[in-house]
Amino acid sequence: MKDIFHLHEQMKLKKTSAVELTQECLKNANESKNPVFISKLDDRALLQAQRAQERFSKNQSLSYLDGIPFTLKDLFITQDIRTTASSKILYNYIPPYDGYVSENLQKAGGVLIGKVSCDQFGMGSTNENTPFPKCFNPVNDAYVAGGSSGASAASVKENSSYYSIGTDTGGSTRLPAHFCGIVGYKPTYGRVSRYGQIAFASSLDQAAPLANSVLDMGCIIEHITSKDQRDPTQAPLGAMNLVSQLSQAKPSDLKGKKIGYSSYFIEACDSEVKKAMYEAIDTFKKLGCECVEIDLPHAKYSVSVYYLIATSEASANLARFDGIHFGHRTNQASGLEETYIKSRTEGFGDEVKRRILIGTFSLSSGYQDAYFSKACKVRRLISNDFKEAFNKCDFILNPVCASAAFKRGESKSDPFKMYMNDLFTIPASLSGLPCLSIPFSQTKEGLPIGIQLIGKSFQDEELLLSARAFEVRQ
Amino acid sequence: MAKLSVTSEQVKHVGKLAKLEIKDSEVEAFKEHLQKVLDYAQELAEVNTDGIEPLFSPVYENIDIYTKDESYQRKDEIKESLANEAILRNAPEKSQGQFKLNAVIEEE
Repeated sequence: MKDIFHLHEQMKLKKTSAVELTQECLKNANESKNPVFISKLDDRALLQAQRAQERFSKNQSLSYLDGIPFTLKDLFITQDIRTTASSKILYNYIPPYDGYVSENLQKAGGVLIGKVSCDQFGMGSTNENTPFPKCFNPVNDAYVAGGSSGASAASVKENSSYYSIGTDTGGSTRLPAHFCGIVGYKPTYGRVSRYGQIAFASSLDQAAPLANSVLDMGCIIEHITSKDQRDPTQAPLGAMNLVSQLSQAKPSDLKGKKIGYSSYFIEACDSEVKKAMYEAIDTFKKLGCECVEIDLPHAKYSVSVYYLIATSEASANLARFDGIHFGHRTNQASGLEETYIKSRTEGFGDEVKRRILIGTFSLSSGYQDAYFSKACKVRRLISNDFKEAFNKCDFILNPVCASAAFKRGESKSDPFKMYMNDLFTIPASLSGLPCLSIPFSQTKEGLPIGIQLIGKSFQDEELLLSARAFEVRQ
Repeated sequence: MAKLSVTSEQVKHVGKLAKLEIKDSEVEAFKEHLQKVLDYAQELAEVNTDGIEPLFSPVYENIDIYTKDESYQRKDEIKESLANEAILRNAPEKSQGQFKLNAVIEEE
């Protein structure tokens, strides 16, 4: 598959067209056995493609994204298009309004192929926590695509779309990118408006694109970073214009950059990931980088901190699902109280219930200081550690996960054990830092292994430029 | 933070707070899971957080970036909202342009 950047040039030269690209993606989607889509929009997509093609024929293309097929994780609100959060409670929900991400990408000419599956409300690492058919890894169907944005990664890997917008709360985009061998980029918290993104944990949630290259990220991010008045937690920095700089990035740009890494995290990985990580360090050195050991003394507490904070926020956010205004309503209740309880009990999956219970507990009277507040204090220390580390380096190199993709069904045996896998992605999330996962190596069995780069707060541009310089190395 | 042993009653109580029904057949599994998370979180007790301000959102770490441009908060202006019909489109039950629900006042 070609870069969006180059496809755009070819469309301008009439060597390919929006309709051709869309037909190809739809064909791939329809022939795939992987249940990636919750809603596929064949006719609508073709119509959008025809309009894009007309613009190109008049030399009036709107952007790099004009006429390029994409998918959205089903956590993004789309006007008049069913939006389920991959859950039963929103099984038939058809939003009357458009969220920021959907609105802006289609305004830029994007062709929406469909809404794709995920772990229910973004809670999971395997895309298996869903009442819908469970998607799998396109590289090897015995393995999961990762989660929670697993189907987003799969749709890109299977060539059913050129990019997908997922969400990343504790690693939900970086992990599937690592498992499927593509690029997953979580912008700094506050870079992309969360208006119309179904909330899981509001101090952590961030829209996060998945694509085939870092250059593509530049084409995408430009259109989802303009200031949106509807989200006060979005920083007023304006659109990130990085495409031309990214297209000129070269490996020598990395000369003199300082890359920090922590052996604590690398040593916690299995032998194949560990080997890949040390190879990555060598590669950066060969490109002229200085690689320095850094210490993040509180990062090892990240899993505890995250699973208290994210669940607490989730328990509050998911209180809106009460069976009254929208979503599933039970037909088994007589009174109002019973309507709330039964609608929620019938509508939420087990993992969602587990997390609501943890969060409600950690916020409940008598326990809040010991759990939620304590976690927020340690969160501050984790964030301070990063500030300290960034005095010594420009970027941090970290594994994405201790292993390559998990076997399907593994998560069922012990849901708690799955939480441990987030150790490598959570620290950056708690501190709101920009980070991305890019393909680097593979296991003996041929499963992809990615590496994670973490940048300084709101310095997404530097992170992407260096990642691109690394991507185009020989 | 003293080590805590979660009881079945507590799980049901938390369920009640969260408006979730925990069936007798499910209590054990939810209890076990909650216990594992709390046991694991026990590690936080060893971190000295005396005098440390809690961090509730990364926004507070970057507040200068936010406040240097007044556009980060919208003005308090009345704007057009969705039509009644659009709002009610997803209502499980509706009647005369309003959401319909079960009796709010229940018999004792």
